[in-house]
Formats: sequence, structure tokens, C-alpha cells
Amino acid sequence: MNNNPIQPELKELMKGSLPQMDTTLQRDLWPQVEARLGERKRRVVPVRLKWWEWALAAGDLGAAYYAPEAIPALLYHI
Amino acid sequence: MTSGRNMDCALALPELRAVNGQPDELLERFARGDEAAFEELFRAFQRDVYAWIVQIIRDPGVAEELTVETFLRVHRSRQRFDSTRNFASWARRIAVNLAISHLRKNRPEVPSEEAALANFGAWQADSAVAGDIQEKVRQAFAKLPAPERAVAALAYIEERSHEEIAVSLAVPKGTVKSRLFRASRLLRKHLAKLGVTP
Repeated sequence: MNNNPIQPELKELMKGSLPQMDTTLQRDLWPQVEARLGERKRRVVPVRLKWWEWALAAGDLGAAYYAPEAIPALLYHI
Repeated sequence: MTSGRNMDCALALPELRAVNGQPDELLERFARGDEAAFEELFRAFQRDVYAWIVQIIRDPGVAEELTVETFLRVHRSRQRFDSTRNFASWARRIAVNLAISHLRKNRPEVPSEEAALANFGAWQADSAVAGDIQEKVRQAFAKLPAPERAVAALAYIEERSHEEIAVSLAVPKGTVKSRLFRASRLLRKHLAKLGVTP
């Protein structure tokens, strides 16, 4: 069995049908990278809270409203 | 620094050690989040990264986009980068993974005869292979699975050695050979269905 996976007749067909790529980069890509990095920094990640976190916050606010003397204790446990 | 090198040699092994040959102060600064160090590394390696990608993707526009994406990922992962490691190998792995995954997601359309003429008309006119056969070979090539397509492009079209392909794709040499065997078998099968017998 032929141990060389390169098959000359297939190579000839491939080379005759698909050109070698020009590997020279035609322009400086730094401006694109800089712009994308800037976009990423400007993008504000929205804070997403689960329903029970909202419920807990509402409970704390309620407790602070009806029992203001509990505020120091609530602050202590934050 | 690596800028201004001959890109025909972009896959050659010694090129990979360009940054490790220097004191790794630049890499330490990069890993600490120094933006100037990142820009310096970008300028040193953008041509190499583009050359690695374009030979796999075979589309200059997409290769530019993926080069930008590679460096965005490099930037995002900089705190995890170990500055004693080889930057080029790390960047190459990211670039090649992106390129292969792009090939997986986007099976290339076979260019029409007009598009092919517009892209490489002069080259095509010089080719010894008849136009209709070229079209069928391009169709058969486009049908290959992504890893086999990458290996076939590097071996058959770019004429890279097995060692160079193994380094380029960060896979063992045995894997290159087996993928190339599979690519050749599939190419023959697809070509036979199209009435071409190599």
C-alpha cells in the first residue's frame, strides 16, 4: 500500500484548480482591533437579578420602612 | 520582532520562537494588562496570524475578520496567559481553532465561473486543467469536512510538509497523515460522482 497520503495526480488536479493564496496582509488591522476593544469597553453589561433577589430587596425596604430601628441590624448583615 | 518577514515562510518552525527568543518582559507586561504591550505584540504578529488563517480559510476578507477576532480573544484571555510560554504557539492555536470552527459553520460556496474569473482569472487562464474540471474539483473540495479541507488545502495547494501542517494545526503528524488519507479518499469519491477520475 502506498504510504504517502499525497497522491500526485490528485495534487496536480488540485493545484490546477485552486490557486495558492497570497499570504501577504494588505493593510494594518490595528484600527479594527482598537475599535472593537473600544466597543467592548463602552458596552455596559446590564445587571440581571433573579425574582427572589428582587423579593429580598423589597422585603428589606419594607422592613426598613415599618421598623426603622432594624436598619442597623440589616446593615450589619449585608 | 517578526514584522516584515517573508510570509511564504510563515509556517516554518523557527518563526514560532520569535518572542521567546527575547527577554519575556513584553509578555509579562502583556499578561499584566499593559495595552501598549498588546499593541506591540499585535503589530509583530498580525501578518503571521493572517497568513496562518488565510491558507486554511482561502478568503482574504474572512481571514482579516478572523485575524481581528483572534487578537480580541488573545486580549480577553491575557490574564490567563503564562508569560513563560510561547506566545506564537498560543496565538496560533486560537487562530487555527477559530478558522476550523468557521469552516465547520460556513461550508464554502463553490465560486461561479464569473466569480472565479474575477478572483483569479489570470491564474486560471494559465492553468493546465480545463475550466469545467476546475469547477468540479472546487465542488469536490468544498464538500470535504472542515479538518480534512484544512489539511488538503495546506498539503495539496500550499504544498506544506506534514511537519509544517502538524505545527500549523497543533495536531500530531499521524493525525495530519490520517486526515490527508481521508481527504484524498473523499476527494476521489466526490470527483468520481462528478465524472472526473484523477
